Amino acid sequence: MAVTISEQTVHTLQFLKEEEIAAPIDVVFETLLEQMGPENETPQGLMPMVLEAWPGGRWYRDLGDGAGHFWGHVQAIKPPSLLEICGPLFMSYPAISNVQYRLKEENGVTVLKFVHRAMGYISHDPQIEEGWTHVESGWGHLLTRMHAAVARRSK
Amino acid sequence: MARAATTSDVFNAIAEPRRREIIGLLDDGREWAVGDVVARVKVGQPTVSKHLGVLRKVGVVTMVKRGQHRYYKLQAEPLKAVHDWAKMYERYWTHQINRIKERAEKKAMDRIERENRPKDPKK
Repeated sequence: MAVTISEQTVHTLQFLKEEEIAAPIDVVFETLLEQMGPENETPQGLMPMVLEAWPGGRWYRDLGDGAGHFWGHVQAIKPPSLLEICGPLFMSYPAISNVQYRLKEENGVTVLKFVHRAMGYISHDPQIEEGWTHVESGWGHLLTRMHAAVARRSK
Repeated sequence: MARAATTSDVFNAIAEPRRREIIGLLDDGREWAVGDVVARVKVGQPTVSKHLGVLRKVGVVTMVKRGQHRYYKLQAEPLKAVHDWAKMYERYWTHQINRIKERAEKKAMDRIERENRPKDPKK
């Protein structure tokens, strides 16, 4: 057995985003649950997830026959204003995340405040980097297609 | 909760805007003398030296001493891990939130349309 102790490999990350959505708060919350569940997508198409929308409920990918990938637990849920998830998300490394969606409706517009805070291990393991590259190119492809579709609609 | 030291990891080291500006300057891959960095970022030499010291401690820059001068050079490898990690999540969440906005707004429009639809007088 090899044991390695290294420094400078545990990092923290914070991602914040605020979005105004022209829809009532109940509609936005319902859509959020769908988007994190059966409507979850990848560039290859739908990648349905299961979100058990209650405290302690699981957020996971069910591949059938007992196979799957656990992404997190519902840490807090207060429909239609709060959903909080904690867990490893899609990282197969020692890393932990807290994700919060906070909704507030004002004058018919719902403000979605999103926060993702994470801490965990980062290394230059070629296998890990290979995985990242794959994920990045996948999401990049999706964004490119989405931007193109939005541009076409705007014309 | 106490704040993490600026030299605890790359994320903390590059959180400071002035240090990101210095990284942007060193991005051309060549060696920069401290004096040249000072001239470009327009802050005092002690401040620039302090920022370069932090970046050096987390491995973002390397330093060589030639005579009286110190030269700094960007090392992209530690930044790549941070950049990739952050970018992967940024893309994922941005996509998800865009989809929620798009779908929720469509649902809201459909709801308004249903509510404003004239009722069939025969029913």
